[in-house]
Amino acid sequence: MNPSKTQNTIEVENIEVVYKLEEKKIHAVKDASFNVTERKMLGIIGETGSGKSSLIRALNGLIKSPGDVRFNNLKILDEVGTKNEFNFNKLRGKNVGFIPQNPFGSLNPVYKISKQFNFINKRHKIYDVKTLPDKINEALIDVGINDPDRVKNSYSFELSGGMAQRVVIALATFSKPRLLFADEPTTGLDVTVERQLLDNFFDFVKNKSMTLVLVTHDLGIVAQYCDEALVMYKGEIVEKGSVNEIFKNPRDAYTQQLIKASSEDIS
Amino acid sequence: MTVVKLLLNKNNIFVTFSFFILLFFSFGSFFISFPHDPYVTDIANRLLEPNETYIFGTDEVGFDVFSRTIVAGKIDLFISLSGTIVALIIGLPLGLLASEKTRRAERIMKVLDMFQAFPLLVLAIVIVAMWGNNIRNVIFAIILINVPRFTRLIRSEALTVREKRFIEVATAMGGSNSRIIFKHLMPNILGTLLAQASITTAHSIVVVAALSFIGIGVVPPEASWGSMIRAGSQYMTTGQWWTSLFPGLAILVCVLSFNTISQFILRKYESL
Amino acid sequence: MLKIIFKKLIFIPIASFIVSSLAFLVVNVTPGDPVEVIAGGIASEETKNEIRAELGLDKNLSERYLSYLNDLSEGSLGSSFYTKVPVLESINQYLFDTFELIIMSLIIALLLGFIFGSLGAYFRGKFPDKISNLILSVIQAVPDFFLGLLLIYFLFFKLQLVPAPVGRLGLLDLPPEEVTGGLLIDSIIAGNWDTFKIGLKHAILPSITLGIFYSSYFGRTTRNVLGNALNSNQVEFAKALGLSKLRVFLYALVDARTPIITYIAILFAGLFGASAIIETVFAWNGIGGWAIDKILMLDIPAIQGFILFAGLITLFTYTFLDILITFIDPRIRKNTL
Repeated sequence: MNPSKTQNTIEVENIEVVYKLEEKKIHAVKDASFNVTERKMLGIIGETGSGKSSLIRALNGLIKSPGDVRFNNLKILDEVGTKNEFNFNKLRGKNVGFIPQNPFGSLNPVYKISKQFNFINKRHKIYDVKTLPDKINEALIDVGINDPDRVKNSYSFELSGGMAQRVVIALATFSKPRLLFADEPTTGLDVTVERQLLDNFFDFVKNKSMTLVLVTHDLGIVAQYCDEALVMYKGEIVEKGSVNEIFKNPRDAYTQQLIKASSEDIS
Repeated sequence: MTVVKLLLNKNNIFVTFSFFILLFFSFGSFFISFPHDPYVTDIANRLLEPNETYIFGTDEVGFDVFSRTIVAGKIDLFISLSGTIVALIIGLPLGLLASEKTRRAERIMKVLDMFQAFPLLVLAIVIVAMWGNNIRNVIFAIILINVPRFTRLIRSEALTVREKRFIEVATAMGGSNSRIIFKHLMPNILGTLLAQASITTAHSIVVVAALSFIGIGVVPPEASWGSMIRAGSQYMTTGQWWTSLFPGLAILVCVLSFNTISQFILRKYESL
Repeated sequence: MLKIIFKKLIFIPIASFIVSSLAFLVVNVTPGDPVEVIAGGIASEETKNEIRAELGLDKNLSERYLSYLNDLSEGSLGSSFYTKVPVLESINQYLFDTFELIIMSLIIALLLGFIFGSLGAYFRGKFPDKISNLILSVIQAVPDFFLGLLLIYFLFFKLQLVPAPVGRLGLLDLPPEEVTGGLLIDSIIAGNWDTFKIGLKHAILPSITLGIFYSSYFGRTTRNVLGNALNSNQVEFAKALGLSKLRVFLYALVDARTPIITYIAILFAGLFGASAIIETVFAWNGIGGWAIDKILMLDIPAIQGFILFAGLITLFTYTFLDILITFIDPRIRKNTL
């Protein structure tokens, strides 16, 4: 859609997430601002409690935040919580995809997989009803599922972890969104399955020319697959830049610690 | 003393209020000198609307509704509270036993399940009707209805505790099974137990009132909210609302008080 | 799947046996002497012995138990001591009246409860939730018979919107020909629309009394279950996929439907016992009112028969619920193949 060859950026400004628990306020994300280059992959690194999951949900509008995300001169988050949320709703899922952790938590166990594709198709009017079954099969094959017919007719609890997560990816990208958010998509899966899934996933993202923002606590994944990265610590972004820069010359003390710790792991 | 501080906190005003209401109904009759004796009838002054001499009016035999409402509180609250507490005391060991992996435990649960197949209110009615109308039997009925509830609660909490690692450790170090469970269980469960006891008491008040409403349990001339409502029930169709209203309001207010207290306990307990 | 259902159905006869035995126990293991109460203070020793013999109370416990089981096997639940009418006949006569009351109350309770509960779940923590919670708390705290009396005062005495609580019909109205024993059903069968309307008008107060009271319980459950479902990961993913608000709500509902259906069954069984007192308040002439009369008169055989019957109804309701859930939840269906 974008005619020029220069890389567009998605601008994230002043995202803030505050939780209220009884009388206490928890600042999960404090004033996060950064840019994401289109068709590149950005990894957000942090430990549990760093605020990364809250950040990514705020970006997607699943959590309210006072800041904004500008995408092609559209201020996306303005609409959240207002009566125009309906419009953003259509944008979400259509142009912006979200892949959560834990596929079994996300997939509805009561509907067959094919039915869940149907819902998305009806909502965003993606494909013609006649071609739908084939398109579903295509989508499943694209994420590395070799027997799409069987999977299509199964329930979520009949699938293995890796399979289910692939289904989730297929569902989230079914409408061919240009921007994809992923929250620790491989946590909880076996290491071998994880490897395969990640290889497949990143190829998939590259092939479809999507922009990806990925949240993870695994530095290895970011080092291997991502172009740009940010490091979060206690709700703040302590480091941002290209993956090469960060890993070669980390400026922040926390980042340095992280890298040291993980390289000890790898070696 | 922290309890007192908690109560004086202005955020907890409803809870403090609740405590006072309950204290009032429980002990008020010992301290207030009533203008009219709650046990003396006065047919000449029957069915008087609330006025200066009779604040809540009089019922069909001339009883002063005000004094009787307060005196009834003493009895109804006593029955509900004692029944609940005894049910709790009985349910505690039963629940612990039922949480073991033994035949006995399974049998206890089966009996409980069967028992709860009956509408418990009807059972309570049968028991009190057949055993005689006195306070002791009503308490007994309350105990009977509530033992299953507490047993189940204790059992489920005990099961959760059993799963925890530190129980394995304690057992490996040579403690007796049930004693360990009990020691570790109690501090964890105290909050939930107290809250449940509060709610159960609230529920029991209504049961006691239901019993005396249909004419069994605590019957006139003894004062009881349920029997007072009964006495006034036929006059609702003719417009003498006060005989039934005030005891009913008393029940409402006490139940709400217990519920408030229970929610308060749960909140404070969770933040520990 | 048929195997699962079969296994559950097998359980019924065993459970029924246990339930009947319990019914026997409750009524027959009493301290004190019911004969004293039945006979009254002034009766002679002879009269009391006659009563005792007739009630079978002169035999010991095991003999009584055996004769009880014997009666049961012949399909008899005993007969009323006072009226000599077989218990089964009385139950038959009054059952449908109670049934109609329960159904009407249940509908109101479910509707109201669902509205309150959904509001509370959707706007969790915010104003509509707090108001709804407050209203439900107050409703729950009022004893149902008291609520009934209040409604009589306001709707009948003050506002004159409903007829007097003298029973299912006015004092001068004639009931339709008895087919099932249920007034409204029989009126429809007989084509008697006037009686039907009168019956319906008289049914308003008792059914909204029970309906309002039990809507509080159902509303609480709905709010909690639906609220949890709305916060679940599945709903989050559904929102992320951009599905419409209605669809997201349906997702949550489907997730919540098992506990909700379970609670409806619990309510139904519970209403069966709870309607008894309301029946006495409104002179409803149903089985609950009948049972309470019998209990107050210490009509032992009738009491026994009624308790057994009540226990069996609860048993059947829960078994039916069990089977229903197995059908609708694919997780259970597939896992227990």
